[in-house]
Amino acid sequence: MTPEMENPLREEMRMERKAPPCAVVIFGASGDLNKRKLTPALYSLYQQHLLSNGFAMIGFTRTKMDHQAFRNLMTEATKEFAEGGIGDPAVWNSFSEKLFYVAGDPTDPSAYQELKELLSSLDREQGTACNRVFYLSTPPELYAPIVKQLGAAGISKASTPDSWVRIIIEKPFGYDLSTAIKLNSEVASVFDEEQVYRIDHYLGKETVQNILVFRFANGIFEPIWNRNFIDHVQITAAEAVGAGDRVGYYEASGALRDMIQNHLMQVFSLVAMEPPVSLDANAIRDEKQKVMMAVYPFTHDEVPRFAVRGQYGPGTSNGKPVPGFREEIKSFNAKSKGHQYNEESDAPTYAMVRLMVNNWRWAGVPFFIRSGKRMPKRVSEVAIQFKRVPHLLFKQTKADRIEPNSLVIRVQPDEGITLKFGAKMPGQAMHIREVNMDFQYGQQFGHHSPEAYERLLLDCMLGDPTLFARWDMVEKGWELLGPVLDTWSEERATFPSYDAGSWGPTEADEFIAHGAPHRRWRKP
Amino acid sequence: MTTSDTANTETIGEMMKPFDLRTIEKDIRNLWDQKEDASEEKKATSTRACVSNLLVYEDEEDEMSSLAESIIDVTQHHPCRVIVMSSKANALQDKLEAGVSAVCSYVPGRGKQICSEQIMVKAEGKAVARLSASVMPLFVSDLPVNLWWRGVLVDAQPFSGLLGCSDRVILDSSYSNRPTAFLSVLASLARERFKEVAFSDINWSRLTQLRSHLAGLFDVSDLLVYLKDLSKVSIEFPFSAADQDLPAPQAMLLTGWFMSRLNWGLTEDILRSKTGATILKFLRGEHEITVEMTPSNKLENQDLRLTLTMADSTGWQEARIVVNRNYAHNAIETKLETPTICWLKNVARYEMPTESELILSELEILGHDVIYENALECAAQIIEKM
Repeated sequence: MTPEMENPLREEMRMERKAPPCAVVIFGASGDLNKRKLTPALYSLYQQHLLSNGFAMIGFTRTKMDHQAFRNLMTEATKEFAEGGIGDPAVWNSFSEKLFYVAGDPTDPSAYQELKELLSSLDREQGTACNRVFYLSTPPELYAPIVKQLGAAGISKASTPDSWVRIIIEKPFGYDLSTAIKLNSEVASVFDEEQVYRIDHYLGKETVQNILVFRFANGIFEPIWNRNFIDHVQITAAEAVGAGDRVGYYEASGALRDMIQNHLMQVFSLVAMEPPVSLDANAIRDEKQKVMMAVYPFTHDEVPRFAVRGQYGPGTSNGKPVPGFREEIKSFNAKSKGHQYNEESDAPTYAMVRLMVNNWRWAGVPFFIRSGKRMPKRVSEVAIQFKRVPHLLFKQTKADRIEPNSLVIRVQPDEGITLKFGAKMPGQAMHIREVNMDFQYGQQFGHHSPEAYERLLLDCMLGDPTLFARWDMVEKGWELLGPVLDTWSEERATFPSYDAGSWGPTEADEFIAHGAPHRRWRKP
Repeated sequence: MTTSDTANTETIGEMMKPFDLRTIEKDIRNLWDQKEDASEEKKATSTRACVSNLLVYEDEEDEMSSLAESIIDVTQHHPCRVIVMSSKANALQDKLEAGVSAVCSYVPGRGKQICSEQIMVKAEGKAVARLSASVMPLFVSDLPVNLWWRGVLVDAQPFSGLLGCSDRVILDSSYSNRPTAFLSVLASLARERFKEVAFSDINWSRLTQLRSHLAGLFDVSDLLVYLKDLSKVSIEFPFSAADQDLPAPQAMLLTGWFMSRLNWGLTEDILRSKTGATILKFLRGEHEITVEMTPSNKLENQDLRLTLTMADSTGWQEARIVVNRNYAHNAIETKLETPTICWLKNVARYEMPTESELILSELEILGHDVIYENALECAAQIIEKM
């Protein structure tokens, strides 16, 4: 039970959830993620009075610098990356006084002794109440060494009966099933599962959270949310940018690992899950896991029937000619004096999988999940494609050309929900046109949606793991997609297979229409 | 037609005309047609949005310009159909007039304008009695009706009529001539009309930051254990000429909040000290709690000082918490004295919310704000015994 639930003065709808006292330790604090997202998110929470008085943040990296130099670094980062900059300098100054720094090698035990001493002194001087959040924002190869050192230093467990220690682990959680299991066992040897918060920033997005509200707070959608009314579901995460400077990362991971195994599988589970018995974190995560368990586990031999990969060649983006992925690698290698990447790389910059859920609700309804780089635009959405009307009443209006209804949940940009349906055009004739009923977050609420990291950091400090991935789901995700990863790594591909600036390879178009010619990819 | 343009908002409006529903509807249609025709650029980027009906009543002519600014702030975040009403019952002529306008705000970073419709209705003389019935057909159907009442509360038209068609009434108890006594009236209204309408008092919302701060202290389990030993609450508030015989409404609401949240029973023991302090005794089981509400000449404006003393059964003081809302310093200062908590003093930034921010926070609430209504009911019980 959390302290908030016991505090009779806290129980109220209008009081925002406020974090309890704690120290947040960010490993890899000089990295991009901290500068662009984490520190601005914490500062935004501070500005909204959502952090406790007893809050402190400690940056931990190899670079030698003192507390003040770290504060200066974060000041510059926040000026550049926070939406409103630092705003009122007095507010930033009071926040920056809560920032501290430890310089050390993540594998060096003495650095952790220094960290331990600083944490103890912050408990006394800043009132952090022995509560800690460790945030691993480092390259993944450092996850296990850091976890091991935290355990060895004796700071991985709560030091008092009422305090807590939590660890947030960034993606990727493993490279495949075996490395994920290995990493998890290393983490589990030091932290209990309830201490581990595997972050997936997609789950912090307002529209993703709204999927639950949309489905379970409205009476009109859930009755048709099944195989009787839905033809298929498309989940898309498209990016307009190419791999750019991240060719190294992308060459090793590819679209399936980068987006589908984590973000889109989470979104899929929210769309396909059964109603949870409560809003308790585990009740929701149990239902998500149940639907993952119901996904048909395709074998190596079946991969071509369930997945398509692609890689962009040269093309056009934003009106300008852009190179293909392999050209980007060549150009990176030419500039790099260090590691050289495979210029004939088969890394998929586009991946698409078809998931079949074997349960009463979804039997026979395919879920098509795709993600790609260098697509015409940046867009993430879930499209529920309903079945066609059973009887074509308006034959003279070429009703067979009328598109079936679709419900589109846009995750980014322009978060919102659109329902498409047919309407009679004004006039004497019976002409039907498709129209959209549109809900846009920005227009209806006016509010600025909080950044995903704000929500997730606050949830972790409050001990609410609902929007974090539980190990069994991560494991199941890797298990399901393992055959695809293995097959694709064993078999050479004929790449490039789509032009930059297009909606992906023609194989994907043929794939979705196979056996169901009315199905085609949306071009959102 | 008049148009005004500021950095982020644009208002397009029609002149006042004799009240006629068909004319109003036609003017609203014309307004949007004009907006659509304004320019191709604006046509593509303007969106008409409406999430509720907001009825605003103001009976002071001088307040209209500040009200207009507040409405712009509100509609930026809460697009709605705004119906602004004013009345002058003692006017010699009977007159009912209306004018329509649109307030458009640019959505930062989106290059779009979100527009809210505004209908201004003025009633004079006997027409005041017809005001509520006249505006009712102007509501956008199937959307909640919120009444933001800025006038003096009287059990007559137009308030009684508007109350009957509203889902929520938002008012400011500090507007009243006798604000503390007014809490009793409000509590009785809230009790009687509980099934039909929810009440909000933005004077209560002004306490949210302070209450949140105080509640946050007890999120720490080391401190939460002391809450059961709370033996004395001292509330100091600025001296005010209004309601000299009663403590300030915010002090009463805070006491009502403690009473309802901590399950205190009110005793008959009520004292007035020579300094003007009101001393109340409460019981939780056999544990006695004293609340002392004292006016202070040293405090100003929205200053408020709250001292919580926790003592065990022998009277030994175990902990003391002082929360001081200092308006001039934009700060909420907290001091702690306990045997186990290490930190002693903390200063957090406090920004007094504007009226529109307070209204927005009320518009976010669906249904009853049970915590407020319980605190109000308890405050009213105390006032009745005083």
